Amino acid sequence: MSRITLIFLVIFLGMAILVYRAFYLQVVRHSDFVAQVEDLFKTTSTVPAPRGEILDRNGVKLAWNQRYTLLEISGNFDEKGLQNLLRTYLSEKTAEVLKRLKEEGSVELRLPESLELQLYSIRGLKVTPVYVRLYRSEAFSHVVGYANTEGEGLSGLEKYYDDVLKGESGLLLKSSKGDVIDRIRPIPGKNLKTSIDVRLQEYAYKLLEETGKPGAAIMMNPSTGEVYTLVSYPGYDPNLLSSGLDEAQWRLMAADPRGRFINRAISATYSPGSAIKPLILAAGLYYQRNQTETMTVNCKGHYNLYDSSGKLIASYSDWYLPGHGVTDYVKAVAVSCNVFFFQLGSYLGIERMREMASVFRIDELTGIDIPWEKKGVFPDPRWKYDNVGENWYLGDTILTSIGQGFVRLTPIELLQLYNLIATRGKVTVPHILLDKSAESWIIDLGDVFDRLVESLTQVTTRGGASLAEQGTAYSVFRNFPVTVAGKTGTAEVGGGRAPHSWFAGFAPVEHPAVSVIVFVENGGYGSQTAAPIARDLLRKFFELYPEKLTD
Amino acid sequence: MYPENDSEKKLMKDLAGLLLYVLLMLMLGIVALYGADILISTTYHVELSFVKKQLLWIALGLAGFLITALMDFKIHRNLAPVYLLAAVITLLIVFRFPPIGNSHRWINLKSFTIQPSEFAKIVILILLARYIEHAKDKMTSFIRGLIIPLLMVSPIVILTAIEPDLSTSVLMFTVIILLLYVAGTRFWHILTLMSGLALIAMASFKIGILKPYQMERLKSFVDLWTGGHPYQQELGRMAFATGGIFGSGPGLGTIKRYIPVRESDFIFSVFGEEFGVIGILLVFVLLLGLVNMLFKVASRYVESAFGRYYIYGFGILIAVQSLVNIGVNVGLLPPTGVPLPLVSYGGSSMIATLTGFGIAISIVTGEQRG
Repeated sequence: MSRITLIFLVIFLGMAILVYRAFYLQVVRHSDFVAQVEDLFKTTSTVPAPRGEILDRNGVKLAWNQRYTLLEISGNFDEKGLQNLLRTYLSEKTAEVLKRLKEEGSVELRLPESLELQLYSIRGLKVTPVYVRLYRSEAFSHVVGYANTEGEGLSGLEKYYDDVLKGESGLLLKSSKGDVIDRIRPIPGKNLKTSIDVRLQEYAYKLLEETGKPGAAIMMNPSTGEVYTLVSYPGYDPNLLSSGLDEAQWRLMAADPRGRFINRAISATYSPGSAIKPLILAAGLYYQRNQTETMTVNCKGHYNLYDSSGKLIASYSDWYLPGHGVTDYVKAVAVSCNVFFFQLGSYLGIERMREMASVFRIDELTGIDIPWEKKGVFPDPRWKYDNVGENWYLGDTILTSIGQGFVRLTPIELLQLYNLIATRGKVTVPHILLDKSAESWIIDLGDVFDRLVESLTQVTTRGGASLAEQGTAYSVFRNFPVTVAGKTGTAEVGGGRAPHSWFAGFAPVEHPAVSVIVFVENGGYGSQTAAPIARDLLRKFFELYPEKLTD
Repeated sequence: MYPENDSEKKLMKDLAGLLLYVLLMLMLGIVALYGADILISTTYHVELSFVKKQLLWIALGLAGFLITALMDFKIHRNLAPVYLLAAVITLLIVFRFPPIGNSHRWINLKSFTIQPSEFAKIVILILLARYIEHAKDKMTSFIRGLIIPLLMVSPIVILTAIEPDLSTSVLMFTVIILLLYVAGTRFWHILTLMSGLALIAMASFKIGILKPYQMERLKSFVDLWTGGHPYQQELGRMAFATGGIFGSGPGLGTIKRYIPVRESDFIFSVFGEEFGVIGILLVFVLLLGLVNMLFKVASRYVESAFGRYYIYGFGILIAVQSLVNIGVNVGLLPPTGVPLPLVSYGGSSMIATLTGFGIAISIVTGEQRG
């Protein structure tokens, strides 16, 4: 045998071994390898759950989803099968969709859910539902908040109730060839029904917008804690944020000097001005009943403070410089006489006022169900020493008694003061979720609340020839169909800027169905800007809910 | 086994058969590369980049084939020293280029790269054929039948080894030994040489002539031979095995996409996944048929020792390289970077193989012309 023949035989033998080996792998061990490959290359993908919708108290949608179906080629895909399914729904547009899918590898369509479920069975096609979050308008931005493109709630109700809203994503298990092996359906998020009334909310936003100044407005049911309206102006367009805005848009929104992302209703504190007076009066009526009831001052437009040797150390002006004349506590509230409250405050002392503030929990978080609520400040000597590093002076007491100085409250904290007066001592944690069993408790101060309601009613009803006699919101609420109890507030801010404008109140006086607070930054006198807005809101409320008028 | 036959008709038939085998191998390669190109995730925007480029390489290879086939083969015999010089120079030039994967194997000319070792394989065949023709009566001598021819081609083998491309140099060495054996070198001479080399290697390990860092270097050098990551081999075997009897069908393999260098070193696995046992048998039939036909033609029609041993060498080269490549693919050999001739993607390998094949054809036709 020649050597080349031998070599050929060796080569033949080598090939034979390889053929045997190939046969062994491809036939004998075939199923083992197929199983191994299945195990290695089967894919699981998550199927997002639709986020729950957020609705107003009448079922109007505040936040909802637009559903798309994302089709991606992920294997040797069954074009015929896809074509047949799509044709039933897209008819002549099918060819175009298929063309785009093949050219770009993916396509996003709006398809009914039933068809989408059928698409899962198409081999080599990855089907993913995509939800785009949509929102009603800017007016709701600070209540509803927004969720990002990944479906995480980042602010407002979207954040607070994220766990409820987000649901549970499902799973899709596919073989290496792209056939569906198993499917765990996503559990959709639950819908949230809120106590918000779209009509009131949008109206409030519009009224604030018309002032052109930042501000906030809240309307609540004082007895149940339901929030009808919670507006902070300016807001932002949540649709931009939920769809993933570009950097330029973000900069533009963030750069707004008015601070679009601050929820002024709960996350910013301001001097309450005279709107704090009911708390001071409550302290007076509770701790020094007789003195307060019998106390009168002859207001000449200023209040002089003397030291023990009788030397004048300071003089504080009333907002009404001609003076209110002889004034008792009812008139003092109605005409917002500072001189009376200077006197009352200096009799009471800061500790008593602070004690009443603690009873009312005025500077504590109200516990409303949206994130980033801020705590206000009701000062006392200890607080001043810790935070300002100075001792407490009588002047501080005097300023505190008219809501100036160091007092800082959020609109929602201040509204809680009026709510507990409206309910004669029942405090309920405010909530935006409609069917929430809210925590509540009773503050028993005897008839103090009735006295307060009486005085607050005078603010809107006490007539008179001049501002010395007239309730501060009398002209605003003249001829208003229902009696309103409330209080204006004008908080000096210094620096030559106009004061902050406040109005807080409730109606009807006997069985209050609604409370309201309006705050306008640098809006001027309370009676000038905030009170008319509050009046318009109350009017709108009783138009919408006339049955609540029956006192 | 291969009785000589002078009939012109029979020769033409055998030559046509030879060409047919090569063409079928090329076509099979294109079909296999189509599979390597088509990935399941991008089924619908495929550029067929491997197929397109491979067609270009085949065209260039066929040009090389035509030129050498029509040339007088004796020119190569005369130019053998020049070829050796060229091979050595190009194998030195590769060190001027930055390494790819720790190895200097390529000359980078921006738009394409050349792998000189692929051409050097053909140069080795020419050198050996020429030597055997020259020393055909002295092949039984240990020195003249084994040592001298080995020393002659050793620059190529050693330069390839230190690129490092140990698998190609071992392949070269194997082909050289087999060809010398066919040419008459004594079997026990070869055995002696191999044992001697093995002893020297073991001794240098044992005695510790090598310093620890040199050992490390040697170890990493050996690792480079078994260079590829075993997992790509594992994936290759997996893809291959899932092919079953009939395969997934052309372009429809699903595992192939995960195999690195599926277009060259692991093209056999891709083909196996898509065409199954049936396709694999075809590859073996074609390979065996081609090698058999080369040997047959050389024995029957080629008188000159240079021509005959060149063709034997060419057949041995194709056979050994295929065995190594397929052995790696089915997991019988450690992973190496040896392509499957005429099938794997790659310009240098394709052009060198087809040009080498042209030389074989020119030998057969030239002999007949006289």
